Amino acid sequence: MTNMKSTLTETLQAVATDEDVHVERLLAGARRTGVRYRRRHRMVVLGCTVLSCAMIAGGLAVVRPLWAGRPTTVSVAPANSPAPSATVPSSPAPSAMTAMPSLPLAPAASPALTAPDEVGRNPLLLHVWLATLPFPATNVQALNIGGQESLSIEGPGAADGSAPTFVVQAGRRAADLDPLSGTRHDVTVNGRAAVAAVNSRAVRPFVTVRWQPVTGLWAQVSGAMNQATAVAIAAEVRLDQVRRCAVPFRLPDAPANARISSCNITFADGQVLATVGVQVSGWTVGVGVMPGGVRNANEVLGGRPARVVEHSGDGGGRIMEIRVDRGDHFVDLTAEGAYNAAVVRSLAGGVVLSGGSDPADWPVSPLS
Amino acid sequence: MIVWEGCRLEFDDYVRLRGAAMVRLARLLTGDRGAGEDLAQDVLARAFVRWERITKTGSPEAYLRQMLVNASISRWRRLSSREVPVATAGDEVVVGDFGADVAQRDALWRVVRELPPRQRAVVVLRFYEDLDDASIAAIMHCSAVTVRTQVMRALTTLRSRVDASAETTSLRSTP
Repeated sequence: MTNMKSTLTETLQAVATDEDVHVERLLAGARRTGVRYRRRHRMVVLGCTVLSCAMIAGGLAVVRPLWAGRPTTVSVAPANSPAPSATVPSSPAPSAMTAMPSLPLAPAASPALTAPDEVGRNPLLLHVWLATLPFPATNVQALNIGGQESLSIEGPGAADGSAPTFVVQAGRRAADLDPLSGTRHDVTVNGRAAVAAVNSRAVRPFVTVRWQPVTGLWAQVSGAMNQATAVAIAAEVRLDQVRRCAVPFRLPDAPANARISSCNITFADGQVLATVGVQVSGWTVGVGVMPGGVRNANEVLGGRPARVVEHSGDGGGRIMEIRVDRGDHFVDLTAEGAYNAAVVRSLAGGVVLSGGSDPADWPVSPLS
Repeated sequence: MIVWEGCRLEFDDYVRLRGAAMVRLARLLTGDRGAGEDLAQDVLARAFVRWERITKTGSPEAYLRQMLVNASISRWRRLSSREVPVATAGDEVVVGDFGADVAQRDALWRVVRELPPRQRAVVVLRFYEDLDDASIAAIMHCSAVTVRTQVMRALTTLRSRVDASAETTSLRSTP
């Protein structure tokens, strides 16, 4: 096969458009199922409220501050729980991290434990963190988008292509988290009642541990691991400090009504990569700074070579992608929605790189 | 009631506008026509519940695409090993019945369906959705470096398996 990439694109397009889609049937089915989900969600919330009342009435409420110190005990797992996962690598890969990377603290911000309502509200703050890594990690990613904050941890890949991976999520509502799936067990996380959902039908058992660190805050750990490992990881989740989801640039030419809608910071291969989503009325733009150069420049923006491409995305919506050369890095922008191309170009050309490789030196907000 | 009506109309309009594209993407992510339609419908149902919040993100397309990818990977995790998608008897490649290009594409699609779910998702997002590394990384909750690695691994696998398949077919057709 001489041109794999073009053949691949042709193949995928042919398969995808092989048969018409009955949109009205799709819409009816989605609405019908959606109404059922909504009804079920209301019942779950009601059930949780009743359960909480029953626990308090029964004297089971935990009054010890959850994060008063490093936990000395981990949750009680069922007696038949398997030993800690054998998929966890025993030795770190060359570029693996053995401790959680460093992000600047935001001492003025209220932590999740005392102000759960703050979780997910400011995309440039991270309320959820881990005290320790359960295995050497090649990729640590923190994400704040749509009212949910999450951490994704990935270890070195195994010979079969799989890699130890888990996700920590925190949100103000259980509905903000990924749904539980599988057989449920009662466990505890640092003394708090929790539920572990174990899906044993998966190729590798998939476990989700969910608990309420304080009223009004939900936390969850999920991944392909055994229950004991998931509960142990949950015990390491920290919600008593706030960190900044910082980016190494400022956007002085952003429109006055622009606001940050999401933040994503990734530590991998000895580098830290950070991007933000910027929302302007009717459109959004993702902005980041990536290592590498710009090839096939077709414009000059801010006095620098740039590659500007506009095309139709999935479903026909307009997408504008810009890469502006900044030496050994490039500024990367992707705009979607009813954007103004001139404004996006101005935004791209005006990006000011700020700070070095240490996130502590990065600005509090790219819009400041 | 006003909010409900507003929410309903907005959701309906979105599905009518983008629903078909979502189903097409889901078909590729799951590797199966029927499963793709079920997955797209389920994701839209979950989106229906939180539609107001999704629209506040300003980019429902990106949000739903991410939901779809996550759901396709979760779906794979839930499946038993017996249910990992493989080519059905009806998908057998019959060289000679169609042109060589069609046979080649059939063979390639069969190998794409056998990729691990995360690799398949990266391949679909790159070569069907035409997304760049950063966009795929945001959807897959990983770094752009990981995306490039996954693409490289997938292409290597595809090349080797398609070439092996072609050799086998050639040997079989040799008298």
